[in-house]
Amino acid sequence: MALIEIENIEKHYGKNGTNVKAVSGISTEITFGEFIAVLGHSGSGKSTLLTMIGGLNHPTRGNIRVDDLDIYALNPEQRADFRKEYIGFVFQAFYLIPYLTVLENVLIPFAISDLSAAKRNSRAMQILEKVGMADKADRLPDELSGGEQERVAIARALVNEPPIILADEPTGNLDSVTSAGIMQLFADLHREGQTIIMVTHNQENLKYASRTISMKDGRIDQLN
Amino acid sequence: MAKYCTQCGTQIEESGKFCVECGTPVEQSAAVGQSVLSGKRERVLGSNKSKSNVSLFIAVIIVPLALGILIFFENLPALSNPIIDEQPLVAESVTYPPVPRQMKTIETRVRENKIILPLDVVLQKKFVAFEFNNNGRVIPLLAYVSGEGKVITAISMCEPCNSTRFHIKGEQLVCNSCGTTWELNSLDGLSGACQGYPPDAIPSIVVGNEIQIEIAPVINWKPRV
Repeated sequence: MALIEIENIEKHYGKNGTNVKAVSGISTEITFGEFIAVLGHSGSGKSTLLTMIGGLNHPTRGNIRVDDLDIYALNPEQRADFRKEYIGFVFQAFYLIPYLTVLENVLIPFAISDLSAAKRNSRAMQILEKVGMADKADRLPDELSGGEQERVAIARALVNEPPIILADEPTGNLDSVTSAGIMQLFADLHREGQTIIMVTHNQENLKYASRTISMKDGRIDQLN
Repeated sequence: MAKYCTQCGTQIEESGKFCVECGTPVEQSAAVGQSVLSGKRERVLGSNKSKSNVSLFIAVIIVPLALGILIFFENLPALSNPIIDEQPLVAESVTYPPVPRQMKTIETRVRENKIILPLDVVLQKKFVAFEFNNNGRVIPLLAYVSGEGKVITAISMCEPCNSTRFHIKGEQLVCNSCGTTWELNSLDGLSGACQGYPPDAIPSIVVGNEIQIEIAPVINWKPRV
């Protein structure tokens, strides 16, 4: 059974008479446990595709179903709950909150959870252990390297145990050695059954993914 | 739609159970998926509940609260005297000089349970006093033309000081006994000890040259203190 079904989606941007088709007619299915790399040049529509899968960007046409939920047929509250239940986002720019410690940053998704404080903390520490950041839980983001900050951002995305991780250029700000470490972390998560969709323009990253979707001018170029 | 191995990405036949490249079982990931996803769809679709909780909150808290506030304000003493509001206009606006105009006693008659006053006399004298004799109980009444030209009829009594006589001075009605003043148009208290006890307005209507007062509210009138 497909976890994500993408059916002929299009996204048009533009106003004042200009109309840019960022994504034009993409259909694919993604199975539970796949590690998809979405490869493409800047402007090929890969980030738009990612945000549409994440319930953040309404397609102009077409449907996206996740776990059989037509996510853009949901009402806004349901779609917010969909993101909370299903999606973990990792961004190139980390977006850690500078005045919160590593642990507090990872605890943020729990702000809308029913778990007890003790359970939240133990869950957050467990995830920090997994990404190799447990010993720096009380540091501030400033005191961390770029790679370490990205690990914290990944921990934050994972802490709610979302079935899908969406990563937009997660190594875009990192040097090649640090990038390899982060990619290895994604590969480990994938081996444990995590579904990951990662946008990248770095060919080096493709070897960690199970499948590559290559995009060009808003369309799928080829399937590997 | 094509299926791919979740580990190596090799395309798998629709009926395939294992990946021909790396041997990963197809069903395994599906089974893991089912356990990870369990309950999530229900929680997302259940978000409707939170909406209905909001409407429930509105129904249980907000609506009765709003009704309560409305009823509270509805029950506050009226800002204007509803009887005076309804009184008929009989003249253009009237300006009284700042010298006392005392009441002039006039004769009235009773017909069909109505006290009848001649309108032309009231218009001429502006401020009149009369009585209604209810089987020996004499009830003092007054009528005057207000500054805005309404005929106002009332029980002529300032209960705290037991006075039945008043005069008009400028835009004020004044008690001859205690000197309490009320605004002539509205009978709102202005100064003095008995401001809460202006002459108690009694409704009347104008028909032809008659000011007609139903006797029922006059007979049923009771002193306020």
